[in-house]
Amino acid sequence: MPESTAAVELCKLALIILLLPLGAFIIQIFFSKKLPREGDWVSTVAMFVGLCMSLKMLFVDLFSTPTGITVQKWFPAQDSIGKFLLIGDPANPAFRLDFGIQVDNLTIVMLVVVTLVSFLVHLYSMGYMHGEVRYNRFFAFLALFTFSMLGLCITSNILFLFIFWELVGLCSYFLIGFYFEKKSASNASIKAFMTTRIGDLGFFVAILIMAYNAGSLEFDKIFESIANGTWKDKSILALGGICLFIGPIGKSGQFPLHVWLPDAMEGPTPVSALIHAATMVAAGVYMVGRMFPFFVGEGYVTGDWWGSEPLIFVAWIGGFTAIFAASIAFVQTDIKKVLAYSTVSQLGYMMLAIGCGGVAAGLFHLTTHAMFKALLFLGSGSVIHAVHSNEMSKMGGLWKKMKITWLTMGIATFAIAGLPFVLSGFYSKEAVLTTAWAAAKMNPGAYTIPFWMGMVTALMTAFYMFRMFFKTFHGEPKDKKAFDHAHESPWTMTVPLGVLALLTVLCGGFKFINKSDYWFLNRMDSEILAPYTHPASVNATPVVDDPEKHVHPLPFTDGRVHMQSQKQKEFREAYGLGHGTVTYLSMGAFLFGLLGAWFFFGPNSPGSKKDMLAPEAPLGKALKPLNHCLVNLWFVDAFYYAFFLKALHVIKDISYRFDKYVVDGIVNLQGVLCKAISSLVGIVDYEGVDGTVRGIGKTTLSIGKFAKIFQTGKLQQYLYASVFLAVGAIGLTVAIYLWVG
Amino acid sequence: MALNLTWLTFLPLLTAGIVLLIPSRNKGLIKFISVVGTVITFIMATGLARMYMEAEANPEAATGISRSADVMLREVYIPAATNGLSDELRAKVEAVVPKTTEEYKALEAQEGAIAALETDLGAEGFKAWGEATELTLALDAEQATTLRFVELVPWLKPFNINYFMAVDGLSMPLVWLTALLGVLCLVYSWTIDKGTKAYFVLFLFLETGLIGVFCALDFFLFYVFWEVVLLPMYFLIGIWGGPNRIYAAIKFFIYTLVGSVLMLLAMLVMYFWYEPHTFNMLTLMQLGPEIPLNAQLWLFMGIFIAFAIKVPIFPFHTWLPDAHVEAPTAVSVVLAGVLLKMGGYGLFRIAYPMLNDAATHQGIVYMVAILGVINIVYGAFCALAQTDFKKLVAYSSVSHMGYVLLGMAAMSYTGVNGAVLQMFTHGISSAMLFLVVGVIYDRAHHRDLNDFGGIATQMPWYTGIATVGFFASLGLPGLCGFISEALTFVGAWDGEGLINSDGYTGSSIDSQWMVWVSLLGVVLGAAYILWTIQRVYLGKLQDKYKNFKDVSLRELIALVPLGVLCIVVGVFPQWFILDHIQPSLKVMTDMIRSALPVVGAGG
Repeated sequence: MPESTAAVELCKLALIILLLPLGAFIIQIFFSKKLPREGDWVSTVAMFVGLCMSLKMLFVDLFSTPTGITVQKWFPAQDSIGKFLLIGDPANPAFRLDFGIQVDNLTIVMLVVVTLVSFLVHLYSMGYMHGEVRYNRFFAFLALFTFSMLGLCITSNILFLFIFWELVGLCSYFLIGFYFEKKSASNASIKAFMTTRIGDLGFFVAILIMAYNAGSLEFDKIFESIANGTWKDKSILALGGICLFIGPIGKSGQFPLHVWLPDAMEGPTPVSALIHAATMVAAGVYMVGRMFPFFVGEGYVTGDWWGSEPLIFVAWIGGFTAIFAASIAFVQTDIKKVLAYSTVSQLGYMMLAIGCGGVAAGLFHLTTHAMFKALLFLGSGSVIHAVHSNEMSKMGGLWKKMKITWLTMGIATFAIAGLPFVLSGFYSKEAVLTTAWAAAKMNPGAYTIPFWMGMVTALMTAFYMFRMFFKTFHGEPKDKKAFDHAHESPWTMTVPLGVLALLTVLCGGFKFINKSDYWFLNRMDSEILAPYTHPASVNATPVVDDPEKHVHPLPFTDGRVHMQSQKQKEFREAYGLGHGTVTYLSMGAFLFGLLGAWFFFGPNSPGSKKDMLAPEAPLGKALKPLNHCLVNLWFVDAFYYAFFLKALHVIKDISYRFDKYVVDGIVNLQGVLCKAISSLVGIVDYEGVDGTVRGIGKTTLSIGKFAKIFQTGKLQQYLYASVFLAVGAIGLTVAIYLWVG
Repeated sequence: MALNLTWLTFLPLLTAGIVLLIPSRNKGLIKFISVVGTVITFIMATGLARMYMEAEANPEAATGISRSADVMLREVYIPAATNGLSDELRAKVEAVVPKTTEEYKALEAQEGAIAALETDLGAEGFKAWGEATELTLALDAEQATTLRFVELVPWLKPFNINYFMAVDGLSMPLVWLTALLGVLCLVYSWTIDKGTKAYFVLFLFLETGLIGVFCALDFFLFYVFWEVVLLPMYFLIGIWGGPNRIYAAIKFFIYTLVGSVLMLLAMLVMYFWYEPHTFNMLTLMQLGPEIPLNAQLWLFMGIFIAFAIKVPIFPFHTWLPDAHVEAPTAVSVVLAGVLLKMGGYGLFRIAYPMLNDAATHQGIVYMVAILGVINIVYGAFCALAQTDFKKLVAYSSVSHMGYVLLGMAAMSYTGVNGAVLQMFTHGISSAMLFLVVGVIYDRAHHRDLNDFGGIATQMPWYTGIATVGFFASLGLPGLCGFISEALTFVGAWDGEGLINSDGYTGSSIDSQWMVWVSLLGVVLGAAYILWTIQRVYLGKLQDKYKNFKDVSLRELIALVPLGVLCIVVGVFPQWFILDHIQPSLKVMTDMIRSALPVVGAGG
């Protein structure tokens, strides 16, 4: 892309947004003790400024041009400091990495989401964390996290994405273990770091594959090389895609590396909202979206995305994670754990969407989910703040005491459950499921089951979310004392709740901006994908406006026409036609879920009166085996502990014993042998056979004697010894020379 | 005081001489003078490093000692050799001095050509011609173009041993790191009260040896410095060490001595192989191919084991944990920070370029790479099993030095840069970790990981700084360890490399499984480091640690520069170091790879 001034301005803006929280972090770390209020306002103000700038970018994006911003790249400094790594000849480097900034629609949406949630969470924390130990450190790490997360979104190459990816993991580690006096907190932080790092191995291998095969790590260069055939080893593309996805499996809590995310709730609740619900865990989704062409791989050359193994892999993992985590959420009693498993489940949704070929649908769900899930967590924080417990068995009936919390959390619950046509959650979920539906039409063998997994999850989501809502806010107060103490939270906490609730209602409207039926699909898909989608080999046709099939293309600003292959055309049409069916299905899912939850847990409902799920009731008895599995999290954690952790301990002990007794044993044995020989020689020597016996035994002996002498601590002796040995070494060499020569 | 390598090398020794004259009871003065000596050394090293960078960036403008070795040859050494002859004869001699080794060889091959020269130039002229020719042969290596601060003086003339010092991109960072750690260690050692004078004298002596090893370009001189390092180290561990110090010191000494003997043998064989006999490393590199492969393999194994013990490479590594555990903190710092790099440096400087047929032999390449993988993974597993804080850091060194081997075996530009950078970054991060252990040991007087806990609440600044070191060692992006590890992996994966260049082994997957396995080391590294952090710093504070004071000024002076370096190298790797070491490494890599039957793609 040619660099225009406007583009550079935009990238500069992104750079400033990136640097603001870094500055806040540095101020917090070094000077916070000297500032009033321990400097919490420094980070908060920085986030607010960042939010304003991001919003400015969003408005530029929304209203200046019909399709928004095309990909803008900028390398802030090309001189020696700006080059991050450059190995070999600059003209034809063996390895090269620059810090570049890339801004497109995807970036801008992420910037807004991150700065928005981050600002609200900062504001909320000023109330929630009041009086906590290490108050200033908390804000410092929140700021560092925001910096890393923003960096992850604006970088233009995969290795920098990885770098920031690890940095957000570091902040997550610090913040999960914020109450490090508690053993469970530090354990959870280690579990989080280690699990995600295992995933990062796959990510890193994928980077190695890209570096080797594409010869560059810039996003566009990688995609270009796939599209134009300069990619060296085509057979490794699928493996590369699957490896790359292992990273998000770790980071975004996908099965089977989801185990860390529920434990991460050991961190303070604002952290759970910001990092472990709204942004960091969504980084995996962002990355899969950003690298989508790589996942499609060969499909880009043929124009058929729905036969690509990595993509099918993504869809299956996503779909399975969604249904798997939702099932566990059924039986959780800790309000934050319910939300944690629900996060895992919703992340599965996003992956499902991208795996089915709908980057925009996945990112749309990411955005709406960020709003309502942050709201749910902050709301749960407000509840926990009031009753001083995470357990839902201590709650109940709280709606009378905390009206704002109740109302806002209610909105969020309805949103995540998918209240039809009103709240954002419905629209994004519908987009996800429609994408899966259309994909199932394209490749029924691969995508039908993921679609149904997603559909069933919708029903389950409504069920367990309302279960949580009823148990927390309705019914009789289960803990009278806690109930009496409960009160509404201060304004710093309720204002963020209100703002997020408003956004939860409104951000579904993203869909209707510019009168496009699916703004996200058109904008993001065209920008992320179009430039690399259609190598000459694909018989592509322009996308034509077809209201009947709900296809509404937008032209590019630079006059290019949005092209699509035959397969993509079919997909678009299937998507358009799938709306109706999917809408009916998800409405049904919502209704049945709500009714089911009400029946068992609702206020004065028949189910809750009879306590039908109690272990001794007939239904409870029948469900006992299932309950057993669910309570034990399907034994995944237990399996890891029993198998991998055990194996690790066994191997490490074997290694060290081997080292101590075998490797070092041989060394010591030699020492003993030498000593024995030398004493033997010493005896012979003493007997006066010869005064000039040489050999290794003698050396050992004399060194032993040396060591005794050193205890005297007389300096001259050491120096004499040093000089003597140095001279000896030279003398020996000369002697050998004379002898040989 | 002139700014050159001789002053840099011997200034610590000179300081040691001055300290010797101070009465032992004057401990404060002894410490002060010693620290001043190392500070001046460090300033000189920094000055030389600056000059090196400038000269490397703009070779044409270089003047004085910054000129590269080949320029020095034309402008200084040949005129010096012909000095004292009449102008006419001088011009005549200089005209017939061979400009390159090829030219000389052609001359040699020509029947009676040299005899003709002798009669033509006369006895005096022929002598000057001989000297100039010899220097030509010495300095006309491709490597000479990046060698700077050259000093070449005959030393033991009958044996053709020269005092030949110079640095290039490979040695400059290590020299600078040595000078830096010298200052930090002596400041940190301020509390040494037992045999203060001897301790500081030996430490300064050690520093001279270390700088000398990295500067020497005459194999014999290198060997002398190599042995010079051994002695003070032995005494420092053996006198100021922990309870089991004698065992550790003797083990260290004998182990290294065994290696030295092997190196000495290989060195002498090479010395006598060529006619005229020479210890000049540059000449030995050029003449390397004249040794048949079989002999090269034997020599390589000898030298390799010598350096392998120092690196240390499995299975020669067991002296290291013992030495570290017993050594006083500052000695451990130097041991991990610089001493281990002598092994890696030796492999790069001596074993690989001099015996490049052997070094690029498939079996050797596999051996080195697999040993690297074993070091990484096995070292990490052993580290995981430790309960002694210091032993854990020692085993982590074993693990980290494996990356050097892996990058070296790959012999791609990226891999070699990664390996050399790894030596430097490990020098920073492991030095820092040993200081971190020292700080807590000085307070708690034990190193049992399971007996700590909650230190973070009592010593927040210490914990903060230690965290930087730990995460640098863990390979967190943004800190120094990540850059070198990432480059090593890219290099080892890269098809440009040796092990997997298509023309060489016919397979492109060979090194990739090694990368897969080594990546396991990255996860294990995170495991043992996070577990350590948890056991030492997190959790509830025990009562017995409640009176601990946070880091003192002395400890801060030692720790902070290393922490800053971790960040600077992690954020500006190219600007800070890679730009300056690359040209030398490229020359070196090309030279080593020239022995390949088919040079890999991308060369």
